[in-house]
Amino acid sequence: MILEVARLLTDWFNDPVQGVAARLNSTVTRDAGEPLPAIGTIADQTRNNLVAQTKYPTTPGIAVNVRQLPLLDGNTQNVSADGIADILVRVCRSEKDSKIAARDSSYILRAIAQSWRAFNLDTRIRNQIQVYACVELAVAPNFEVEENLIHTGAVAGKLRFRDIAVP
Amino acid sequence: VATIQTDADIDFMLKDAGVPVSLGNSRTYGIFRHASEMESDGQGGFVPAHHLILTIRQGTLSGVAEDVDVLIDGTSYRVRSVLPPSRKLVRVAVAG
Repeated sequence: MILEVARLLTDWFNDPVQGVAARLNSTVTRDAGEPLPAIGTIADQTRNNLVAQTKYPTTPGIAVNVRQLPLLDGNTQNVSADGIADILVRVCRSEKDSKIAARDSSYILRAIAQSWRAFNLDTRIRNQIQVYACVELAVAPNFEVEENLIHTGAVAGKLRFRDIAVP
Repeated sequence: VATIQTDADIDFMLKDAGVPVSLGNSRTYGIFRHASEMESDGQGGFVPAHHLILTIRQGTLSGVAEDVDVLIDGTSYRVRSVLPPSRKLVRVAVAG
């Protein structure tokens, strides 16, 4: 369940048409004179060692982690195969100028939100895990590691899914 | 055991063990130390944090302040924080 949801979303973010880079290039408009920010590697915890260790795949980079997975199995008379995947998509970059990092992170977080909303327009299935609704989507506050160059931001979301292999 | 007491003692030590530092026309010497560790990224994960600390004698680098660039051993760094002085020494956190 963790694997399928994380990979579905990560593959979507890497999609050449609907992904983050594509959104950043097309539907995220920028103020005049501001360059296209580099996004680096987008990876999830099941296919990248660093992301599995809650680090970043690259700097700059985007890490997709499933934080927790409450399962909706409260009704014993009618077993539910549904759950909610709590997902955190973290963005990091290294810039001497903090304001540049904050600016670029803002554009990238908007691109992630746009890409994620497009993901939500249809059900997505992998290994019989069906993601069928997004019940929460939020951009977290940016963060600058003290006395360092690293600047981070995040988009958090909750996706409802169903294990359709459950009889 | 010699005791470092005077400005000249400190300057000798910093010149002997340190690196050249400049800001505009102001020039001095300082000890430049690096330390790396994993720190919270504020989002539930971790990032490698590189702490760069320059130690100079107080009053020897005119204009040193947050958000200015200093040249340390030939490389430009941005001052993040000027930490409160300890006796005659000032520690400056830089990034670059």
